[in-house]
Amino acid sequence: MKVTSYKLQVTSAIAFVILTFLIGCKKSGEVEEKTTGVKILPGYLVETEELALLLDKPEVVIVDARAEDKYKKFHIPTAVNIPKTLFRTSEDIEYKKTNGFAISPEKTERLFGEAGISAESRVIIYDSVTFPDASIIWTFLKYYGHDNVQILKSGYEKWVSEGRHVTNEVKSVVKSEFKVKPRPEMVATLDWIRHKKDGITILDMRSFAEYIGTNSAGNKRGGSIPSAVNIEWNELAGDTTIKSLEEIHNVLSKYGVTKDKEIVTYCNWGIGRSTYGFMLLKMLGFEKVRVYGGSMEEWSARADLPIGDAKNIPADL
Amino acid sequence: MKGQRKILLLLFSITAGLFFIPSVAIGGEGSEIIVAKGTLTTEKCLKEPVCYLEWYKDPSSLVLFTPKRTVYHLEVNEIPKWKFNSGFGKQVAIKGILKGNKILVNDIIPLEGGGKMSKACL
Repeated sequence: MKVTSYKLQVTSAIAFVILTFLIGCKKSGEVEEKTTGVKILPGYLVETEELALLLDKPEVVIVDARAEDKYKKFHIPTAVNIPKTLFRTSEDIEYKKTNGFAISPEKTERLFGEAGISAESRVIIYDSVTFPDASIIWTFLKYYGHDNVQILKSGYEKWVSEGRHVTNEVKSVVKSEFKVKPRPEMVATLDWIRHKKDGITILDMRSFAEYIGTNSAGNKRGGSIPSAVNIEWNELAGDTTIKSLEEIHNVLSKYGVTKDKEIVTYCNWGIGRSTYGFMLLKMLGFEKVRVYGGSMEEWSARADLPIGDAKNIPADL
Repeated sequence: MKGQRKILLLLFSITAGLFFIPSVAIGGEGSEIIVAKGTLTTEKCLKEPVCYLEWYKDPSSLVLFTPKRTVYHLEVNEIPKWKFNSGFGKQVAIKGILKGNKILVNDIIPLEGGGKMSKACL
């Protein structure tokens, strides 16, 4: 009798410990994924610990997406600098007018080739804190056919806060041959959006003021694409990294963003906030997602196209 | 022995119950995101002939009074105070989650030409 009682106590204690352990695991992404259905697919993010082991690997190209002055001051050793200003030159603006996407294949081959990126490269991009600028390079690499590209989770600030080595020494880059293989299915054009009309979910990644047109942000007309939903990009980004999977799940649920729908992201220029939304959804396994390269810069300049602004907000709900 | 079993069973149930609580909490969604416009004021100001109160000095609820004269109560937990300072008594646009006659405010913007509204305008 005593033995049975002892066995029962031991069994229950073990069960108690296991369950308590499982509760503790709720904080990890793996279990969170089970409750939210949201997870970052493997291979998209790199931790600082892993990057530290890759600095001298010849096949690894580390790209600093921050502004040039920040890069010159300090950066992660061996990193090359591709600031977002390189995607907004007069050449790019002219190209976009006729092609609807920010940089030409020729410029892409030149730019990434000069950064030492080839088909064999593993590219790791980092940004200052959250990743709008890193997402531009990520998107162009993906669009032009280079899949081996990752983002440094938590960015440069985490690297520094961990006391890891930084330098102002600029690495001499051996140029590579970068050949583009464009993927038009990743991009939405104005005509594509007009043709699709109601069959797509359009996400306006800008601020609420830009969305309702009280801030025209230099566009010909203030406002947004009618039927677009406004998810400000930082609703999905924390101070130093992307938000937790639970928060992302709640935001996407709130706005009705689901994997079965065709999704288009846009901002003002089609680089930055729109590419961040695009990149994040891709990381979460959304397959039918495109970025609208022309964005509001193009849409608002077309006087024949309708626009949504504060005047269109209904008088009641 | 029976008493011991009961205690252990209770302990087991509590632990198992704790394990499932977060899943239920996360699942409690399905609210609708909306964009609305109207006058940002307080419940008390709506009833006064003239309202001199600033919104943060008024203990009554902040409300949105729509052009069709519907009153929505506003919950404003995470919105910076300055956004309400610049919008109080004016026409504003609000993005938030609608729950009955309540809006959980996500963002708020004063609309152009929005000087402070007098009671007559309301």
